[in-house]
Amino acid sequence: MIQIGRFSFKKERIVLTLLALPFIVFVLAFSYVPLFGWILAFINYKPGLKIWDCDFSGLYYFKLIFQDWYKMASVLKNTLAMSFLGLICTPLPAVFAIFLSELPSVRFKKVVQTLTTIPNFISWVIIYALAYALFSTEGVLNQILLNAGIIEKAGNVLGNSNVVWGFQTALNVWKGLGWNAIIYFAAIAGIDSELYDAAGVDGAGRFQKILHITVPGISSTFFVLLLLQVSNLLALGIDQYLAFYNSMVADKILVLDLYVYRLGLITQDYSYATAVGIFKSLISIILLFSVNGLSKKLRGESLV
Amino acid sequence: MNGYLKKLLGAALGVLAAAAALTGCGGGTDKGQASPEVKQEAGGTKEDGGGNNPDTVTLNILTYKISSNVTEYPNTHVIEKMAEQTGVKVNIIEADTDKYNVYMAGGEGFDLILAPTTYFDQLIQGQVVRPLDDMLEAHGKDITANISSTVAFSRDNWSSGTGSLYFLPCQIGVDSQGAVQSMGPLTRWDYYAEMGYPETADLDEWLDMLEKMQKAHPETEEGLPVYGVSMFSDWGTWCYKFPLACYYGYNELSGSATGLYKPATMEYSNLLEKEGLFWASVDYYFKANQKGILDPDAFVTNYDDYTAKGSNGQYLTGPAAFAMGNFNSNHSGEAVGYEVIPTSWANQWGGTDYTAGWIDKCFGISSKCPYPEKAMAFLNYIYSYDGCRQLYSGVEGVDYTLEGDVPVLTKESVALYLERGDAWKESGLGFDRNIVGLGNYMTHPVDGKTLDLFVDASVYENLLTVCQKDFSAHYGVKYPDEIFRQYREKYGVSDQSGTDAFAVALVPAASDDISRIEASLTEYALSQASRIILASNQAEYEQLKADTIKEFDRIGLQKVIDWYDAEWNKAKEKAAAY
Repeated sequence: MIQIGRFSFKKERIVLTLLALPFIVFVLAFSYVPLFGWILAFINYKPGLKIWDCDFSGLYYFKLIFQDWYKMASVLKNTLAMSFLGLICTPLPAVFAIFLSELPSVRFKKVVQTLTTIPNFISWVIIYALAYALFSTEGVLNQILLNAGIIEKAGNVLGNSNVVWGFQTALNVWKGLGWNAIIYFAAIAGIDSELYDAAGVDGAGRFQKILHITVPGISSTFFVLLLLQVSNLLALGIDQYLAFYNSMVADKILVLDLYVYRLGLITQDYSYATAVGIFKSLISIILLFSVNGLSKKLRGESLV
Repeated sequence: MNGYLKKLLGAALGVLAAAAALTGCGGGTDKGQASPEVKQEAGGTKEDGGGNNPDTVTLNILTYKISSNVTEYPNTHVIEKMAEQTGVKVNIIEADTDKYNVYMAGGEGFDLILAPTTYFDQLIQGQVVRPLDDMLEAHGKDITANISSTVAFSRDNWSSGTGSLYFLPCQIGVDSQGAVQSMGPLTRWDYYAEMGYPETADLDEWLDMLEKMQKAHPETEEGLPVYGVSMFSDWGTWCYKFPLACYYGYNELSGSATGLYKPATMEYSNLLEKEGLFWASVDYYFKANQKGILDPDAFVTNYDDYTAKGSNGQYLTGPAAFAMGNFNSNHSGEAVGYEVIPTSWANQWGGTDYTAGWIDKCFGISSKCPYPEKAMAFLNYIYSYDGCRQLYSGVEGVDYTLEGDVPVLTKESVALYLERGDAWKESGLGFDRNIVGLGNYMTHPVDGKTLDLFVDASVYENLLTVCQKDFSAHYGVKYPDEIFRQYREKYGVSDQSGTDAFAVALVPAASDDISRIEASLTEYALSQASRIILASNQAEYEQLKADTIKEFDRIGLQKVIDWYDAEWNKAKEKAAAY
C-alpha cells in the first residue's frame, strides 16, 4: 500500500495503471486532441489566420450539407453500396480460415497463409499500378483473352462504372482475406481439441465437426467483427478509392471519406469538410449503439 | 455543477492539456521576431561558409506545387557563387496543397514563401509574412531600380489594404517561346515528313491527318499500339483546358477553377460556358474517338503513365513537348521527335506580358525568419540583372566569357544544353525559373543580351537538335520559331502578347460560395466528359451535352460567370492606372 495524502493505493494497481498510461495518452493524443479540430466546422477557417481571427459561422456548414443534399445523397449511396457488399463478404475470411485449418499439410497451410497475407501490406497505389498492368486495354488480361479469341475487343474494367462497386469490393476481399483470417486462425486454435476427439468418437464427420464445433467456436469473434464493421459502414477510407478514382467511374466511386478528402485538401474547403466529417462521425456513433443494442437483445452479448 | 462533475472535468482538461503539450500544440511566439530558440525552428541556419563568405546562411523557401532542380542539386558552382556574393544559400521546400497549408497554419519552418495571390490576405492578416518596406532602402536597391512599377502595384493591391510591400512576384518581364514552340499542334515530325508535310485548314483536318498517320503506323517498333490522341486524368480539368487553349487563343485566369481570358481581346470567358473551351475540347476528343484514334485508356491514364507512353512514341499528338516524356531526347541524334507544326488556324503560345510577374508565385519573407536582412539581400540578388544573368547563364569566365562587352557562352555550356539530362542539371546552369525574379527574356542594360544567354536569338542555331534542324531546313528558316512568326503575320493567328498583366493580376480570389460552385461544376464536368466523349453517335452526344448544360445551370454556372465578369471588368478599369 502506498499512501499519498489521504489516499492509499495498492502497489499492483499503480504498476498496472503506469503500464496502461502510455496507451491512454496515445489514445488521448491521437483520438481526442484532434477533436479540437471540430471547431473548424463552426468558423470560416483560412490557413495562416489564427482560429480566433476567423469569422464565426455557426451552423452554416451543417446547413450546407442539406443544401448540397443532391451530392451528399450520391456519395452516401456509393458508400453504403460498397459497405453492404463488404458486409456480405464478411464471412469469407472465416470460411477461408476454417477450410485452411482442415488441410493436413502444415507446410502448404503456411505457404497459403503467407501468400494470402502479403497483399495486405501492399499499398493501394501499387495495387492500382498492378491493376492497370492487368486490366487496362493494353493489360495482360485483355491480351490473353484477345489472343485466345475469347473476346473481340479489349475491355477496361478500371473505367467501367457499371462494375465499380463489385470490382472494388473484390479487390478489397483479395487484399484483406489472409490478414482478416488471422484472427479466425487464432480463434480456431483456441477451441479445445478434446471437443473434436469427442465428436469423432461419437461418429461426427469432418463437415459435422466444422458445423457443430468450429463454427460455434468462432461465432462470437465473427459477431464482434461484424458489429465493428457495421459501426464503420460510412468509414471506407480514402486510399483505395483515391487510387482508382478517374472521370469514368467518378460518380460511383466517390465515397464519404474521399469526398471529405476532396473537399478539404483539393477544394480547400476545410470548414465544410470538417462539418461533413462530424456528420459522418455522428452517424457512425448512432450505428454503433444501434447494432450494439440489437446484438444485446438478440444474442445477449454486446460490445460496450 | 456538483463536485464530482467538477473533478471529472478538471481531470479531463488536465489530461487533454498534457496530451496537447505532448503533441506539440503549444504554439510559439505569435508575431514579430523569433526568439533564439525559435530561430532554429524557422529554418535559417548558419553555414560553415558558402564559397568564401563566412556569414553564409541557408534559407528555407516554401514553394507551392513546383518541382525544382535546386532541390536535386543544391551545391552547384552557380549556387556556391551566389552564396559567396550574397551570403545566402537556399533550401527549397516543395509542397503540395496539403503540406503548404500545414506550413502556413503553423507559420514556422520557412524563411521565404512563394505564394499565389489568392493566399495574400490570410498571410498578411495572420502576420505570417512581414512588411518589406523598412529593408527596401538598405538592402533592396536593385529591386527599387529594376521593378519599381511592380513594387508600386504590389503596395497598392497586394497589401490587404495596408499599403505596405509584402510580396514580389517571380519572372517579371515578357515571355517568349524562344527558338522552338513547345505548345500547339504537336505531332511526330518524322511521320509528318513521311506524309509530305500536309497543310491542315482546321482542327477537323488535323484529326483526319492523325487518323491517316495512325493507319500508317499502328504500332511502334517495339510492337506497342499507337494512338492519335490521348489524355491524362489526374490533373483535373487540365486536359480540357490547356491542349486547346493555345489553339483557340485562351489563357487561364490564375486562382480560378473555371476562369479563362482571351489575350487577343482581353475578354473574360468561362471554361464551361456553352461556347466555351470545355465543349471545344470535348468535341475534339469525341471526334477522335469516332475516328478510332482516341486511346481507350485515356480516362484511366495518369500523367506518369502518359509520359511513359509518350516516351515510347505511342502518341501521335499531345498537349506539349514536355508531356511526351523522353522521346525527343532518346532520339536526339536523328530527325525523329515531337515538334509543334505551324498552321494557319491554331493560335500560338508565348509572348505573354508578365510585367506583374507570375502571380501564382510571389515571394514574401516570413515574420519568423531569423535573418530578414539576408532574405532581403537574396531577393535583391534575384531581381538584379547580374544576379539573374548568373542564375540563368552561369558564372562569368566559367560558363560564358566576355568578348569585348558581349557575353558568349562557352562551347562546353552549349554542349551541356544540347545534351540536357543529368549533366545539364548538375552543371547548375538554367536555374529554376520559379526562384528567379526577372524573366529570362529580359535584356541586360549593359550588353543588350537576354539575361538567359541560352534564349538569345544569336545562339538559337547552335542550340537546335537534329530534328529541329530538319524542321528549319524544310521551312527555310534559321530556327523553328521564325516560321511561327511568319504565320502570325501571314494568317493573322495570335500569340499571348495581348495580355494585360496588371488586369489579370487584379482579379480577386473568388468568394467561398463561388469557389464551392466552381468545385461542384468542375467535378460534375469531369464525370460527364468521359461519357459524352465516348457517346456512340452524334445524337447521343448532343443529348448528353444538353443534359450536362442543364445540370451546369442547376449547379450555378451563371452565378459564377456573372461574378467573374463583374470582377474582370473592374480589374480592367483599375489596371489602366498602371
